[in-house]
Amino acid sequence: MSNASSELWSKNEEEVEFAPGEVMSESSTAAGNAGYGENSMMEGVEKYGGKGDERDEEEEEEEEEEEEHEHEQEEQEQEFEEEESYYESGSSRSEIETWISSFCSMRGHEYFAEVTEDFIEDDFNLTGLSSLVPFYKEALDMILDYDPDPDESSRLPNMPVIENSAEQLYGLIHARFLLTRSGLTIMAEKYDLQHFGTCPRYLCHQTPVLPIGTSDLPGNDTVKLYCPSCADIYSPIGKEQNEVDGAYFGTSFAGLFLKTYTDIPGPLGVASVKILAASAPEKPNDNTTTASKTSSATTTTGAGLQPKSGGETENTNGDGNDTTTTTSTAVTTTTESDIDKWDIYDMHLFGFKVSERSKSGPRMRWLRERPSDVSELGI
Amino acid sequence: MEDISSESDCTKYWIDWFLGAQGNEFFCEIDDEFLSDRFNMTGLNSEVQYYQYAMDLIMDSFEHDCDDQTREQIERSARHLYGLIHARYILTQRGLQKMFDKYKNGDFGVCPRVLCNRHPVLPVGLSDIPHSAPVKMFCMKCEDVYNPPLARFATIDGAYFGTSFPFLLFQAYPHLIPNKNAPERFVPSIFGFKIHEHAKLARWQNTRRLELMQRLQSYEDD
Repeated sequence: MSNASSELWSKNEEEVEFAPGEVMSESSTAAGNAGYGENSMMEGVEKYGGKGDERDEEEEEEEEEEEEHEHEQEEQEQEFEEEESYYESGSSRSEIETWISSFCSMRGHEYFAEVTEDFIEDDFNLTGLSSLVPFYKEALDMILDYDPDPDESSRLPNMPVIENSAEQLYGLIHARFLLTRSGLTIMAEKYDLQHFGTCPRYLCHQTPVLPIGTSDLPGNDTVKLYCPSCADIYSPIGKEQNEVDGAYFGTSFAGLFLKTYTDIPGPLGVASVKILAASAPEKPNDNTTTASKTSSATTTTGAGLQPKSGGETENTNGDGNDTTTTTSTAVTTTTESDIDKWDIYDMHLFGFKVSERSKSGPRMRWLRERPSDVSELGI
Repeated sequence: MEDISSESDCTKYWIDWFLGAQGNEFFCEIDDEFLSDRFNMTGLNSEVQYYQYAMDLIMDSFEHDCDDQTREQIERSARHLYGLIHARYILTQRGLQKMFDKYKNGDFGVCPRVLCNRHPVLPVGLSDIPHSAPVKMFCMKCEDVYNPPLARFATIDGAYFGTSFPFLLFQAYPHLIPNKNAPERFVPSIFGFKIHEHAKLARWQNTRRLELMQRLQSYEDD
């Protein structure tokens, strides 16, 4: 796990140079890149920027104590930032780590995208959240790094309580943000870099997975991982990831993501997507878009994913144009190999398949089975 | 892997040391009785370098003088040999019993699939030939194989457990087979609506399941 994640981070470092999130507003892009850069340099335990002493301390800490210390540290960090802002007067925010970027770089928060400040500042996007989160206003101020009102700060409860509210509020905003176009774009970059890990199922051959919630209300269940290839959900491996609320990602995100980036092979594969699009008479435009889609992005793990509709070229990575020209010939081969991926594991006893008639025989083959011909589904 | 040569010099019981080493949690202890029967080792001497020395090391009767490099080689052979004997041993009645106890303890971990509700898993090899593939985890609830969660298990050869072991265990202990009559199925949705092709696929799979149930019923009637 640690090897894999360090690889991811180093991969990330390379990627950042070529592909800064161009869709995001300028201020947040700068902040985002600062956050990513720091991550890639300090992998694993060392996640906090700017304070060398504290980082050393944290390395020595036991895991059990970490939760506590994280709160403490963020509290200090918050104060630290407040002090800084007196001198800097907010002009160069990108140099200081924002609350959002420090939250996203915490251990266990690898799945989170950095929500743009424009999105949070729009009250419409926050409709109804005030009733779900205690100390809503203070929490919101904390997320946006606004200085608390000096008159009110004396009456406020201690920082960990607000910190907790801020995390919850951020998570819920995050779930809404993921369903927007810029949210999907950021997540597509993270998906490309395999920040969410890969499917634990052996026969899925390391298909990258997506975070998904089983409920949209907080406090019900932790985050799960959805594998597009086997269309099933799995628990994350890491202990910290297993403590993140599933509502912070929502039930709809993974589905919407795969509907947007249709070149990711689903349980029926890329080929079936093409067939489906071709067979749908009410959508005549789809023929051309799917054709360009599959030719532009043939591999899921390669350079940037292409969104579904054609007019969004400004969202793609800098090297996106190259892939369209070079890989168009490889379309047929990749779709064929995708079909081969639907292997089903057979139980063998001394080389012989275990019979259905046996008590211990196969009973769950249907779960991984796919029709050999998509038209069998009658779609 | 760990630094073996320095430790094993002072360790009295090689097998105890081996089982205690990190990454070897899936192995069980092989009886002396099984180890001392040469019939059980048939064919292994051609597979393992320094077979006799390695065997001596496992049996704690290694008293040869040799340089560090050879010593290390023998250590590696001993570990390999133990794994290959292990694959044979866990198919015997006593071996199955020991692995059953470990399974009951949850020593092998749980299934990562959410709808399996942390059902315990068993180690399984994808091939009986050594050096083909690392060990995988088999879940009897969803009847599928998964990569082990921790990186340290990715270096263990699948041949040390073999392809047959989990299925022989369930033949021997049929009461371990979980109930699969009302299986759950995950269907992704957007804003509460199931995605069309996934819902179609789920229905298709369900008819496959019902066909299977009918077949099973007809077997019983025969």
